[in-house]
Formats: sequence, structure tokens, C-alpha cells
Amino acid sequence: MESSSGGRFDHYATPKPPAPIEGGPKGGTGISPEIDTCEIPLPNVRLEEVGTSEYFSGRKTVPPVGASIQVRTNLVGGRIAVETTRGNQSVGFLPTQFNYLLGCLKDGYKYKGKVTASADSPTPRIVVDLFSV
Amino acid sequence: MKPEICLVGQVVVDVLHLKGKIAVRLGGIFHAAKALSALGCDFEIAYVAPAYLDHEIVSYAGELGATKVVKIGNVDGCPNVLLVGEPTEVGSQDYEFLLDQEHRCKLNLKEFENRLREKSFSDVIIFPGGFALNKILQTLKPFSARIHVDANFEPKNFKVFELLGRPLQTLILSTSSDTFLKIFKGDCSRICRAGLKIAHSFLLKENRGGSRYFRRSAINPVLVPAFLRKIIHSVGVGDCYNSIFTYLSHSVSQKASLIYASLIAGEYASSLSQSHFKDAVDRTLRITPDEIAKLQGVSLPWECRRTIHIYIAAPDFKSADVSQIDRVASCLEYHNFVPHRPVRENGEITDKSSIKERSATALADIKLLEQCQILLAILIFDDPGTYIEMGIALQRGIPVIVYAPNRITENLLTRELPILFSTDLDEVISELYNQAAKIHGK
Repeated sequence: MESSSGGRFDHYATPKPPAPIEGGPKGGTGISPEIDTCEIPLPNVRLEEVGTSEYFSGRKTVPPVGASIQVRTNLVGGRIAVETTRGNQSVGFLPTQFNYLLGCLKDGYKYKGKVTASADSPTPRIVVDLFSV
Repeated sequence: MKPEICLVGQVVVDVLHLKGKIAVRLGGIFHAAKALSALGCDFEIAYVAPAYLDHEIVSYAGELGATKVVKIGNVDGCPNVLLVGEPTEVGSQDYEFLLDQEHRCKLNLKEFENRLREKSFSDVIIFPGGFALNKILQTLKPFSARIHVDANFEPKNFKVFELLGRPLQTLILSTSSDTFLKIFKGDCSRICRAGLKIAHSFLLKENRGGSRYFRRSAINPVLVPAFLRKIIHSVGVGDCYNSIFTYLSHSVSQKASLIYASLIAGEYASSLSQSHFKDAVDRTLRITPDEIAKLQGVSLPWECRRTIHIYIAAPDFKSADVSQIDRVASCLEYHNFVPHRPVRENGEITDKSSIKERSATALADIKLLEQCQILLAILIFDDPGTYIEMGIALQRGIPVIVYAPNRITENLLTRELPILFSTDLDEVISELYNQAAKIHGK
């Protein structure tokens, strides 16, 4: 098995980020120590509490595929909300595994993206792709 | 007054197997040192290690900004190398401490005593294991520093703490420790009582279910959620948590300091780069204490997990290779969930089974499924029974999680309808915690 730092202690190592694979995923499949976690794209994020969101409560439907969304900078009930870019209506919460983004938001990062899948039934469901801007 | 913290413990060499590569790092008290360094805290190190590591320890401690490094004990007979087989702790961490039976430590506490006289530390955090704790406690007895002890490995008997002559400030223990599991038989109430007998406060860390902070001065514990995320290792993450909490509890509320510690420990587990970790610490501290105290996460106390019954839908047959099912079941038990393997519980149908036996077994499986709170499907190969069980659970509103280690299907409904479809067991365990916490919270 290969050592990551050529026979030295790893705290002195500065490994380079892995070369991107042509046609491969843009990120989100693992954490490279050399990529700032705030900049890692977030593909296929399934939002939570979609059925009780402002958007669904008001319209009784979910936003269509392709709709522009962004991450709200302030917490909503202790959760990080995703909202429509137009109208700023919350469409759901990020799973709590993405709570670390709160620090990124404080650091000035903003996150935008698109709805990649959505359905009203059997339960309201939204999947989004997000990336830092 | 700015906290000044002294870390006391062994330095070991961690050898981690990470996705086909080996990472070799200074571990032991260095995990806590890296956290304090990232916070910009004044800290010193009083360490025990074999002589061959001394140069490296002094050099790296200096790089991290330790104001003083004192060797308090030498190790002979053992290289202090820790092999970590399961770095993400989906199940029991598979640690191998090389030549541990040959480990001999000779303490020399003169310089440490002098240092304690010269400097008045606000806090001393001790990580026992590999040295005589009684001598350290006797040495600290005349000094007023708050003493925190992470008792994950040692001591097995808390009576030794009487040597300090006063209560510890904090006793820290994990539900993964032998002390919790074997000595206290996983009994939270019992260990809490024992902890608060010898310490003002007792911090019980409950893996991905968060932690609870018990105090002599309060009836109810502070509940601290876990913030589950993709991690690359779990070694030293608890030590990082301890030191962050100790430092921040001087300036913010106990609840806020514990939640900062939990978030920052998650950052530590997500990177091997100290510079990126420091950036993450800086930005986490930009979250206000008010905001952080409201942050929602996963809170699932150890004993509550026994109410979560998980139906394992899988081809768990005698004729099949069930090693992956065994592994998952073992992980669930490690986390104190209650896994059910229907084929094991209700029996396996063969060609010779009667219609009556077949019917009774099928009904027993469905009854068991309906009694469970979550269904975990393990797709080792295309097994119609597993898909039918998934369908029944979905129809009944039971959360379905799919673990597909071999990526055997691209079927639309199988991938889209469950809460999670994943090839990654770490991700599956985290989602189980998420769903179980929601069920427990209802």
C-alpha cells in the first residue's frame, strides 16, 4: 500500500489535489484535504421539510425542474433554508449534515443552483444542485 | 483572563488506511494540540513517548505554537504505533496498538512540577493511558488548575481520582469506551452517578447521537446534537472536541461551547490539513453563540436507540455470502440499535418446506417488518424478496434506506423512492441516525 507522504510524517506533507477525471463528477464524492470544504459543489441534495415550506404551503406544488434557488443566509428555526431566487420563498431545508455551511455563509460564501428533480406526490420532494459563488 | 491549557498524555503515531493510502501522523495528545493551535490558545504539552519521537514531537509542537514542551515519561519496549483499521467508525474502531504488552513507561515529573509552580494554568486536560495516572494526580494536587480527564481508555476504576484531593472539573467518557460498555454495562444512569461523584461535571459523548453534559449543579443535562457529515477519519476527533469545549467554556455558555466543539470536531474529522482545519475553525467561530445554540442536529441518546428496531431486508440465506450483512448488523449493534434479520429469526424456507410453513414464515416476516421503525435493505444481489419487503415498508410509511455495496441495480423506483440509496456504509449509518432521531423526537 502506498504511503501518502513518501516516508515522512503527513503533517508536513502538502499533497496536491487529485487531477480531475475527464467527464467525471465535478465534486461531492469525497473530501480532498486540499479543497476548501466551502467550495465543494453539492450535487443531488435532497431537501427536507419540503411539504411544510413557505413555497409548498402557499402554492400546493413544488418548484419545477430548472428553477433557480439559493441558500438563505439566515437560519430558519435553527435550520439552513433553500429559497427561490425569485420571490425568496423557502422551498425546504438542507439536511443537517450541511450545517457546516453556516460557517461558510458567515465567511461570505453564497450558494446558488437549480432544482434537478421535484415531485408533489407521494410526498413533496425536491432535489437540488448547489455550488458556491 | 485568557485560558492557558496544559495537555498531559501520550504521543503515539497514528497509521490510518485511507482509500488505499496510508497516512502517518503524530497522534495522542497532538489531536487536542492541533485544535488548541487552530483556536490560537496558549497551550503547553506534557508528554510521554518513546525517545525516537522526541525530536519530531518538539519540532511539530513548536510549529503548532505550543509555548512549552515537557517530557514527563519515556516509553521503552513499544513504538507507540496505533494502527487504525476503520478510520470512519461506521462500526467498532479496529485499533491495534503495536506491542502494547511490551509497553513500559518511566515517569520523571521534576520538570513538570517546576513548570506547574512557574505557571498557573487555568486548565489541565489529561488523557490517561500508558502512564501512572496516580502520580500525575498527586503532582497536580497542590495546584488550583481545573482538571479535565478523558477516561476513554483508562482508568477503569474511578477511585484513583480521590488522589487529586478535590473533584475533577470534567470527567469525559464515550459510549464507545470499554469502561462504559463493559464496566458500566452501557448503563447511562449508573455511569452518570459515578461520574458526578468524582467530578463537577460529566460529559458523555454518544458517537453520532450527540452528547450529554451532566452537572452536579443542575438536574437536567445539556443536550448537544451531533452534526453528521461526510468524514474521512474519526481518530482524535473526541480529543479535539474536549479541548475546544474546555477553551471556549471560559468565554461562552456551556451549551454554546459544546455545540461549537461539536461542529469543529466535525471539521477536524473532515480534513487532514491543519491549515484548512484552522480556516474552518475561524469561520465556525464567526457564528454567534445565539445562532449556534439554535442549530438543529441529530440528538439520539444511547439508551433511546434500543427503541429503534431495524428490519434488515437482504438475501440472508445459508447458500449466500452474508459477510456484508453480518458487517452491517454488527455496526448497528455497535451503535446500540436493534437489528432484526428475519431469516435468522423466522427461519429459512427450503424446497422441502410445506405450504403451511411457507405461509407462516412469510406472515411472520411481514409482522416483524411492521413492528420495526426503519427498513434497511442490503442489496447484495437482485433478490425479489428484498424488493417486495421494500415495497411493503414504503407503502406502510416506514422509512427505507438502501445500502448497495455492489451497485447492483439502476432500477428507477429502487433508487428514487427510498430515503437514501447509497454504496457507502458511513453514509447509511448517518442516515439511520437521522431517521431514528426523527422517530425518537416524535
